Amino acid sequence: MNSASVELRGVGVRYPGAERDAVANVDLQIAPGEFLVFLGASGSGKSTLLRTINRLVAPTSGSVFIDGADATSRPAPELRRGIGYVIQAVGLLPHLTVGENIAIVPELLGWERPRVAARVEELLRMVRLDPSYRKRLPRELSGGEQQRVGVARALAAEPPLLLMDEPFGALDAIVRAELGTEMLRIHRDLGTTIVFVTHDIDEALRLADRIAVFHDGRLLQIDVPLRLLTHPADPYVAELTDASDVLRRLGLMSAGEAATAGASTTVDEAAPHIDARTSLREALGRMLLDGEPLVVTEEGRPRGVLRLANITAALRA
Amino acid sequence: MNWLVSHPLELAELLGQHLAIVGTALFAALAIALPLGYWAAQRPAARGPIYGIFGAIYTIPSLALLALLVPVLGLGFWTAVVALTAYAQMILIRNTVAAFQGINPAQLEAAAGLGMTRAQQLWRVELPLALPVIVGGVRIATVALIAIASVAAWINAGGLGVLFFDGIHRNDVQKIVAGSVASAVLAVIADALLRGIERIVRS
Repeated sequence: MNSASVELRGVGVRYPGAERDAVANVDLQIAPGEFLVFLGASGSGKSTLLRTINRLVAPTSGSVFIDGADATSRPAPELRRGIGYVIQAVGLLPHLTVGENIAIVPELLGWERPRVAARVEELLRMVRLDPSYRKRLPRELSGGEQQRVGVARALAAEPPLLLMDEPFGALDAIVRAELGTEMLRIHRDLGTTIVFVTHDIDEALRLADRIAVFHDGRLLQIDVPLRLLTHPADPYVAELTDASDVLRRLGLMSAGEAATAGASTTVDEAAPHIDARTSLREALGRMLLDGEPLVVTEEGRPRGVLRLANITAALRA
Repeated sequence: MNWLVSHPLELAELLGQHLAIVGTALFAALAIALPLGYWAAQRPAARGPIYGIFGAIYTIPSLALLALLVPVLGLGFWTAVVALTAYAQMILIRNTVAAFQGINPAQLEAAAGLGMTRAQQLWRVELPLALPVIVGGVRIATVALIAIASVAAWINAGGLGVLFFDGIHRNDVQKIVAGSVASAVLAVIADALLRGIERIVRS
């Protein structure tokens, strides 16, 4: 697996002439292969902090370490060639074809032509675009397709770290969900460390291994999605995540964890079956329609029983 | 028209001089306007004074500008080139600034974020994207210079203007018409040629 660790030590950014810090003294460690989401409103400093990692923004205090090495120990362009970068506005170069856009970083790194061509093909498949797209111009593509190319371009030289700045923020809800799913698949397949900025709590909950919540340039809390909802460290986090939203919390818990374990000899064979990985939110929906209990299965075999009481207990845990 | 047909060699010589003056002036003007325009595109505060200076030069009548330059630079080719270079600045600077400002900032951020050096960003992204608008400026400047270059004959720099001045002195309408037609045709051809180039760099 090709993945980098990132460590931010006391990183602060103050833009010239600004009244306050855009980012104030952030300490943060990102494990190799982690999918970390920076969550916050606009002006919270989340994008600025992201941009300190590839040095598009220079911290006014503190340091950034990638795989233990200070990010300033190499020239910025060299550093950036090893870090994928995807932005909301995509920024495909309009005078280059899709294939040439994807090939930018491999060519900067001096890859041989056949290797670049093979890689472009491979990447188009990875982001689920037809190989014929290679010769098309960016303006001929839809917004969603353009960002697929943006992702392919960022991953072209197999970077161990991928930075994504509200990458799907300009797309409609359906395309956005679709690309989120693609990112989860790509993350699973490649193991790349991903830092993903968004202001959308649901997107954050769906994608993240951990979520870092920012407000006014400060890091308020960093935690796994469920704990962010169940144990908000700050009133702002509670408000932002709408922690009272029970359904949202149920969406992050699985039927398998909440079920009473054991074979379901006492349960009617006709009771509805659900997979252990199903979310409790979905399980609750089934209960409302079909009644309780539900038989929880793993690889098709019954493993336990889920009743409304199990769901209540899971929420109170 | 008859004159043009009956004097092909003389016409060719004058045409050559005309093109040499315009070409040299354009080359010099671009050498100034491209870097200055690129620099000014990133500095709004500098643009006012730059536009002010070249705008003022642009308003000086061409004969007056030549008359001002002759005591300093003398008669001939290079004086004409200096005058035309100064005229072309106004058009080229404005277009160059507009060309670089017109680039989508997201494309520049992507180019930097992917790891291009400053030089690579300039050559691979900024110049190709600015080129169509710059060429548009070159086209407008070329047509303007072809017209203005006619007065260069007045300071012995040659060119198609020789036909006007000769025609006026000798009361030879044929020569005046010949000069007008020749320089108009030259301007039309140059315009069409540069439009073609503009289309190529735009696609």
